[in-house]
Amino acid sequence: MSALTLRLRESMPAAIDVSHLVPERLAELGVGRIAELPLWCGSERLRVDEVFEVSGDDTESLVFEADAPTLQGVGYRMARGTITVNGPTGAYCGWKMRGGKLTVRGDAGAYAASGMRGGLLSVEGNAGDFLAAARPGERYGMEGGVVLVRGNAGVRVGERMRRGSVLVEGSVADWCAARMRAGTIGVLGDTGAGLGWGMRRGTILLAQPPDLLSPLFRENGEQRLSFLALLARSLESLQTPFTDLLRATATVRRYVGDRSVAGIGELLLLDGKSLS
Amino acid sequence: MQINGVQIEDTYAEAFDMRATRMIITGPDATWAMHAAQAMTGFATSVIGCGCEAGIETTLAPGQTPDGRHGVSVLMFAVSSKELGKQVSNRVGQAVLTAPGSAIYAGLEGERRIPMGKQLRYFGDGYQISKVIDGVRYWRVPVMDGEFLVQEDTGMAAAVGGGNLIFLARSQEQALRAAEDAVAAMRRLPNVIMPFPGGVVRSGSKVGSRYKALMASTNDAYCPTLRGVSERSQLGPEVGAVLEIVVNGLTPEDVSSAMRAGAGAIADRGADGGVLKITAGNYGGKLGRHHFHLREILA
Repeated sequence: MSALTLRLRESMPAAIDVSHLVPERLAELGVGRIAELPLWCGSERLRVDEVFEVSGDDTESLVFEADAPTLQGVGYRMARGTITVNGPTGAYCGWKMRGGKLTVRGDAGAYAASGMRGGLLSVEGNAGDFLAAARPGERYGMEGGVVLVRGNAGVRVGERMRRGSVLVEGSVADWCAARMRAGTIGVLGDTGAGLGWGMRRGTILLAQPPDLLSPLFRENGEQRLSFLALLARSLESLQTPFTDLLRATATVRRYVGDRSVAGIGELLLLDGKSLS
Repeated sequence: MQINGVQIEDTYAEAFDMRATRMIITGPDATWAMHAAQAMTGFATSVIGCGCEAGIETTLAPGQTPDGRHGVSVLMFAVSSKELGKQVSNRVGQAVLTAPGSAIYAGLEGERRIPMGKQLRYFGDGYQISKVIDGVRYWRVPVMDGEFLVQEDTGMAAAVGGGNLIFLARSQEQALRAAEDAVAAMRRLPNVIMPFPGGVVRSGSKVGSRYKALMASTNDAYCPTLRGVSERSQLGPEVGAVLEIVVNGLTPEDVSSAMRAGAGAIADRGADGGVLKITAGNYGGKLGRHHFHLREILA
């Protein structure tokens, strides 16, 4: 069997909603009927084969070929199998994802991994704003699983997130971990303003000291934390610099906040240096 | 049947269904991991008076533990899942939480779970931190030397307790040397513990007593000082001492392998080493589901 491949016939000006094209739903349907599935492109209702060239037959391994960030909701609620996007995606990639593996070989749009509960979302380019964040009106952002971004991410990474791990190998923009409830966010690059604002619980792992940290994050001293070894082990298969960094770190410099909301979230500096 | 001049009695050890769990204790170094493990498995020789039977299964090198530190693998057996849960909570709370630098993890997978950090986390008085890593919940409880890391729960398995070997020797010294050999051989095997001091028990018991309040009393049949006194005495004039090794294991096969290793080591001492006979304890076969026949095991 070869991967079920959906190649975009031509760039569409409107967003294409592919949220229903996930392995477990396609497996139920059977390969033959995928071509005739309805597909919303903007306000227009088309068929899958009008938009994509369909080839392959393995519904557990789905591939989108796209050269513009028009695919919306890739991997929505997916529970198993793999989805690979060769190209960028639009918004809501991995929205409410529950399991399996979703790989974006390009940039991901806004709200990637929002409401995600399980599985692995790997973004090889950059992620947009609101990565793993709550949508307006929603109580929580990401609720489980692992997100790995090889590039940078936009504003409000992990806002109101409550479980799972978000690892950004590049930098993040402002308000990272704002109002975070729990979970882990790691950033190897720079962090913007408002880092951990209103954070109650959870862990921020930083490879370098933030430019700005609210004074309501209290210096907690140098700590030796056993759970970092467990975290390092769990990341082994991802081949990310985070693993080596965690392994090389015997002690971390720890800051606890945001005390303005009586938070006991933690910011851990993996280089062991204190803030200047 | 005789091996090395040691008579193997045609009898069987009667063992019982139990519930068991394995836990991995780690520490800042091998010594401190062992301190925690010894405290946790202390006073856990028999379910009758201790609530559980526990022991150290093996030591673990840093590469074999979840957090990459020195560790000790511990097995704990109890008569019911409820009692096992109580014992795990109490013992982890009093012996592992208290030990400097310690952490404890589940050592058994399985659907049925026994709470471990689930209750202990409240010791953190609201400052405890939950971390879910790879779908497993851990609790980080602030303590005076840093954090106590404890997994939410541990797996429970159906297990077997009460496999045993009873052996008769010319002297107490000779019985003890044979016992040491046997325990050393049995400890090399996985999935078993010998819960008594040094793995050996000298106060074998029988069911019942002439005192109404007591459910069990000394096994007069094998007490050398009751030779010629007790009608039940099984000891000839040449027997100086009798010792017993009790073994609990995760499966009947584990218990059987351990009994084979132990009985083999005892028989290796041979008649020249003062060992006269190997037998086993049972209750007529009605109490325990598992029967380990010595001659089959050693065949």
